[in-house]
Amino acid sequence: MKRNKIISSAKVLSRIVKWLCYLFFGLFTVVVIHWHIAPDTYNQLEVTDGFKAGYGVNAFQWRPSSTITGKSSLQLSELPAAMIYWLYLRAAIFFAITLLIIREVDYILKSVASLKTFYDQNEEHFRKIARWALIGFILSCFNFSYLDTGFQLDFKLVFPPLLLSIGSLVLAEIFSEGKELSEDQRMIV
Amino acid sequence: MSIVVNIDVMLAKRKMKLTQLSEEVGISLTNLSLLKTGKARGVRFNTLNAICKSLDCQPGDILEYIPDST
Repeated sequence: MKRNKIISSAKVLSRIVKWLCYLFFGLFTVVVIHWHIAPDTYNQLEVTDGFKAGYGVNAFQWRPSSTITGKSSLQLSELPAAMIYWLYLRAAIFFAITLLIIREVDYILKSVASLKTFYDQNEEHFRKIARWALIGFILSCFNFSYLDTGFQLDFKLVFPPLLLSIGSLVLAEIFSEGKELSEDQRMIV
Repeated sequence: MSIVVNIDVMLAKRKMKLTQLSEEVGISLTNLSLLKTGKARGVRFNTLNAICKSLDCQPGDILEYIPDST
C-alpha cells in the first residue's frame, strides 16, 4: 500500500507535541527549583492568568513587569510557596494527561499504519482518550488562588477537552463496529 | 447452528483429503478447517463453486439445514 502522508504527518505532529510537553514541563520544573534558590530573580515576571480555569499551560501567561500597567497584576515572587506548588502540580497533571492522550494516539496511528486499523485494541485506545479528556475537562473547569487578598475560586466551562472526549467515544463506537465487521469478513470463507 | 457443513462426508465419499481439496480449490487449509468444523460465518459463492467443482457435487450435498430442536 502507498505510504499514507496524513498518518506520517500525524505521527510527526504527535512526536513534536510530546517533546514540547517534555520541554515546557522541564522548563517549568527548572523555574520552580530556581525559584527556591533565588526568588528575587522572578520580580520581573507576572502571573496574569495562572489562577484562572483552563486547560494546561495555556492558563499561565508570563510577561516582564516593564509592560505591567495596573496594580492588579501579581508577580511570581509575591506568590506563597503553596500556590507555586499548586501551579506546578496543576501543570504536571495537564502535561501527564496530554502525554497519556498522545501515547494512545501513537498506538492508534501505529496500528493504522500497519494496516491493522480494525484488528487491534483501537476501540480501547479511543475509550482511554475519552476518559483522559474527560478528566482533563473536569480539572480544567476549576482553579483557585489563596493569596493575601483571600480565597478565590475560578470556574469556567472549557469545551475543547469535552469535545475531544465525546469525539473519542463516538470513534470508539465506530471502531468497535468496524472490528466486528472485520471479524465477520475474516470468518467468511 | 442449524446449517451443517458436510464437507467431511463428501471428502470421505470421494476418498479425498482436506489438504488435497485445499490445493485444488485454492483456499488455505485453515479456512477449509473453519468451514468443515462449522466455525465459519459464511461461504462465498465462488468458494462454494470451487468446492462443488472439485468434489463433483451440488451445494446441497455440502450444506444441510437441520431445524433447531427448541
